[in-house]
Amino acid sequence: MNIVIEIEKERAKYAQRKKRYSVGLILSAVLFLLGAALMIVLSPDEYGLWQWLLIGVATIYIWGLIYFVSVPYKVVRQYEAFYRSYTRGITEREKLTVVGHNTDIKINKNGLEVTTLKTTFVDKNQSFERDIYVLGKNLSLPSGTNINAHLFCNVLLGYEVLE
Amino acid sequence: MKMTRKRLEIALAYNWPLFIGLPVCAGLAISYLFGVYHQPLPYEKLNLFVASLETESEAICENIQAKFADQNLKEVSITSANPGDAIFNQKLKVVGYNRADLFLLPLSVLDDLTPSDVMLPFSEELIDTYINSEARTYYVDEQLTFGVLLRSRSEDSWLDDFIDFVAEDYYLCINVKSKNVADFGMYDNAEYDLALQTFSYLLGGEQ
Repeated sequence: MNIVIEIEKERAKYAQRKKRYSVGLILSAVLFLLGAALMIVLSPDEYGLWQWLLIGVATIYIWGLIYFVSVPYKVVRQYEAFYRSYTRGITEREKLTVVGHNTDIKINKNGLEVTTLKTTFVDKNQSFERDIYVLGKNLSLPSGTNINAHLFCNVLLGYEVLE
Repeated sequence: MKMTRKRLEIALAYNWPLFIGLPVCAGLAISYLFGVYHQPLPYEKLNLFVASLETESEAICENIQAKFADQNLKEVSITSANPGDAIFNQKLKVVGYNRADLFLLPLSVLDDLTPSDVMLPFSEELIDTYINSEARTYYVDEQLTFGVLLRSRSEDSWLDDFIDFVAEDYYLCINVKSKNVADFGMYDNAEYDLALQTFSYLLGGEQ
């Protein structure tokens, strides 16, 4: 069996990253609030300039926060959720024939960045097409190769090349 | 993580109200907090209740504020009411009694009031410290002094530039509930006497 993803290793990596990001988020919020409170308390009676300065800093912080929560943090959460749900979800094994590999990166419904492996499978003497997702571009399976694929949420986790 | 741009586009498409709304809310909150924190304390602000036909509030406030700026006076306000108005008494009793530090009232208004309800009776010490030595006419009720003549109807005053007085004798009185009357009033805060200093200033004129 050729392993495409080392589930446990990836799960641990993303779990740790999620924890680090969460701590960073909380810490940044606490620091920002402390800084804002200090600015208010230490501001002179003519506080107009300080007020606008703080509003500017707060705007930049909030934009950064929204970006961080909706992009890097969300990615980590989605990857971590994918690997975590693997232990509870249903995995499948399917005999497939590789047709081609589209290396354009897409975001699938789980939020993972994937490429598409075009395959076919035979059911009741009829051939059907099936696109499966591959995490990353590095998969060297020539066209026409028969594989026994190990899939979870239509993502290729590992495969065996069949004779 | 090569799709950062694509993910950002998705985030913007879904979260654009947050990008606008949250900074606006934060701005309002910051503005409010600055305002609350820098709000003048009771002993840093002064309110004068003036019974007059018309008052140039801004000018007289600026004048008093400029005089006492170095003594931490941050806000001066005027509550003005025409003694001829039907709601004058109500305004005096609701707004004046509760907010004002000093009252500039004509004799006819004073005669209709019970000064002991809200006016500070002048003690010897107060008179010696804050009223200059020249002979003064006082408003006395039940053997207590509640006011000092500020402007006689027959004489001009430096305050005529700011206040359109009714043609009567005007008395200057002090609110017993003021927090700016040192320890003469209801509160024992000897170091805060801005109302009394303003009282002296109004009596003495622009010197």
